[in-house]
Amino acid sequence: MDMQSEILDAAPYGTLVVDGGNGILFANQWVLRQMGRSREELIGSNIESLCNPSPLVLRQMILAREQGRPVILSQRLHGYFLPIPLPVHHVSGFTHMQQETTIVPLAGSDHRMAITIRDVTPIVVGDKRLKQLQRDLESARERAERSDRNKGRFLAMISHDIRTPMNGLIGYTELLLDTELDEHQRNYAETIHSSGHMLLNLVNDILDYSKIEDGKLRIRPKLFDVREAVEDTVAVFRPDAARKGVDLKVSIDGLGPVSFFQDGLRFRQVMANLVSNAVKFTDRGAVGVNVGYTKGYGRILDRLEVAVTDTGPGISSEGLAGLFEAYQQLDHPTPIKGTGLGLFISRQLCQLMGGDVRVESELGRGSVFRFTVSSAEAQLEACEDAQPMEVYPPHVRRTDQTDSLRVLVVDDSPTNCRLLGSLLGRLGHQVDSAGDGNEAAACLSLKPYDLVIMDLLLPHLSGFDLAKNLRQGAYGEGNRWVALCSLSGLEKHDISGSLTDYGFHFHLRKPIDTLALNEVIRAVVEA
Amino acid sequence: MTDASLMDPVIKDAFLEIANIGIGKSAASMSQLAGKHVAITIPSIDFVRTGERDSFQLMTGTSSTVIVEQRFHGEVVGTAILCLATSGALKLASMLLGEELHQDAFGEMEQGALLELGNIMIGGLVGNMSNVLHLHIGYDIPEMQLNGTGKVLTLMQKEGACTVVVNSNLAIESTDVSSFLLLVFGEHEFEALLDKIRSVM
Repeated sequence: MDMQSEILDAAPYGTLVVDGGNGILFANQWVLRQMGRSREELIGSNIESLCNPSPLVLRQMILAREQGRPVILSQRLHGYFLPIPLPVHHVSGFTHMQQETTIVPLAGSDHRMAITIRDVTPIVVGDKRLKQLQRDLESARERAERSDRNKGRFLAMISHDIRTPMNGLIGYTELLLDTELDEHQRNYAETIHSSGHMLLNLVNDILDYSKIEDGKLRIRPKLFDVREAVEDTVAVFRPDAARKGVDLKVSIDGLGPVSFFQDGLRFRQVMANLVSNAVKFTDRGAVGVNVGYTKGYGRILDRLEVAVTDTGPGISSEGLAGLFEAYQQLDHPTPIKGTGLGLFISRQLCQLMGGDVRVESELGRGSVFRFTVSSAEAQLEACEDAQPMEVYPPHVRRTDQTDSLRVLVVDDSPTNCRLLGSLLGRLGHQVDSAGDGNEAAACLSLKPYDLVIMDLLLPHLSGFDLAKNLRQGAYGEGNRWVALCSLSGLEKHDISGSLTDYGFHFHLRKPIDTLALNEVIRAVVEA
Repeated sequence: MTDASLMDPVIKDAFLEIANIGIGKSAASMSQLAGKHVAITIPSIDFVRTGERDSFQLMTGTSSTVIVEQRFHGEVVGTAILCLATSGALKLASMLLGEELHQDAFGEMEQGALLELGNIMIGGLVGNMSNVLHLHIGYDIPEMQLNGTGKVLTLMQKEGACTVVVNSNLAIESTDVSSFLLLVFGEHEFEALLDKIRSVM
């Protein structure tokens, strides 16, 4: 056997050479092995009688011979009509080997052709499995995303609905605490009040988490006083720290009355989360809040860095990994209540405010959480909602100039109506209430008011329609320009459409914060 | 090579005629093979010189192309290339294989089908050219490349290269895909081909 034949015999693919009449002149070892024939049996036999190729394949062979150009027969296009139907039951379960065949006319005038056969079964099987896997993955991803979206919507809906009864719970407890109570009763009421606030914080965390997951969490920058924000936030935790004998120190020396252009509420939220954690986990020693800054133009700062240090138990290196991920709980000998969302939300908020939060900690040596936020001044032009939302227009009409207001409260929840009536009545205002849009329309047609506080989702006539009719003079001129305040479990910016377009001047979020309510009242009295 | 040769409408017409007949045979082969009606039309033919290499990208309108390349030699030497936009190539392969279209799914079967398609289209065009012009031409085995733009540009920008650009539309059932068949020649080889065309006219 010559060297060329030896090389061809060693090849990992089949090679056949046929003459002008399709008689086999040569077959390499691969072909002999796959067909289970000896070379003597094959040489001289006709490929047509041996393999019974389809007319399509025969036509290709004739074309190749006539035109002197190669022909490629891809396995899939030719299905089972392959030129060499090898009697092989492949391990993959295919009854036919998947082949790719090339027919090349050889030089010379005797019309010889070389046929090479490549076994592509593993590649084709791999291809099919890969495609099936891709389809399965795609379908699993779609299912997971759909489930995640549903979960997010469910959480947001439930959290929103929990806010409404919370309004009654917290508000009435505040009223109760203003009454004569014995020591036991006061303790019970205070526990209900603090538990209510704790539950509200959990609900707020869940709502924020849902918004983050949906990419809907928005930062609304305004100028705020840094010292005031820091001291107010820390003041909330002073009683807890004092009860535990933990010293709570704030260091903002050198920071005069300077302003920072960022979302003050979210800044306070991050600070509150970190200070609250530090106080919770520290049983002795001190918690320190240190505020550093980079100055910008005039009295407006460019960047704030707040470090919250504690002398608590510290966090192990295992605990530090994934600390800022959702549902991570810090290790502590006694269980600490919380959703495990606080640090996750804090990091997201810091990043949205152009900064970040990081931690340095060692077991037994306490922790330092540092967060930074940048001024959003550069985004001022782009930020549509940068203006304070409580803009009081000049065309509001008062019934008279006394400090006692005539207020109409519209809410389909009798509890909320009674609560607002009590809160406002206690401040010396006259309050009427309506349980739906039609009742409210009747009240507005009867007598003038100084302020209407209305829920937006009302039976019969929505708060939006009621406001629109009112501004169009549908209930007479007396109340046409009355001060309007919307009431909802949602933030103003989460309500589709602009409240100001409907003529609302104020927005109160449920549960009603008495300070925010007082602000509305003050603005109307001073109008 | 003179610009006058390139601009000569008679030469262009001759190429268009050769291409139409050759591609018509390819369409018949493809129809038989795929068991579906395949129609291939040639709306236009252009000549592109070395200095105009950017026009390839302008023509295809995409930087992502799948190519099937086959060199031929003998009395005329050159390279024939079938160029398809990647999205169009996937669509074609899916149609030929009767499978659902999956983006980025260039598996062995798709590649095999496109290689065979390229071989048939190039064979039809160059085979008919050799028949009409009585040329003896031999062929290398075609090769396929998934990201072939760079290779095409390199070939087209060789000193003195002249490319015949055959703009073609492949229609299989409701799918319509644009493609380009390029014949890239060296300066002397192209001159020899033009001489052959003139001699049979």
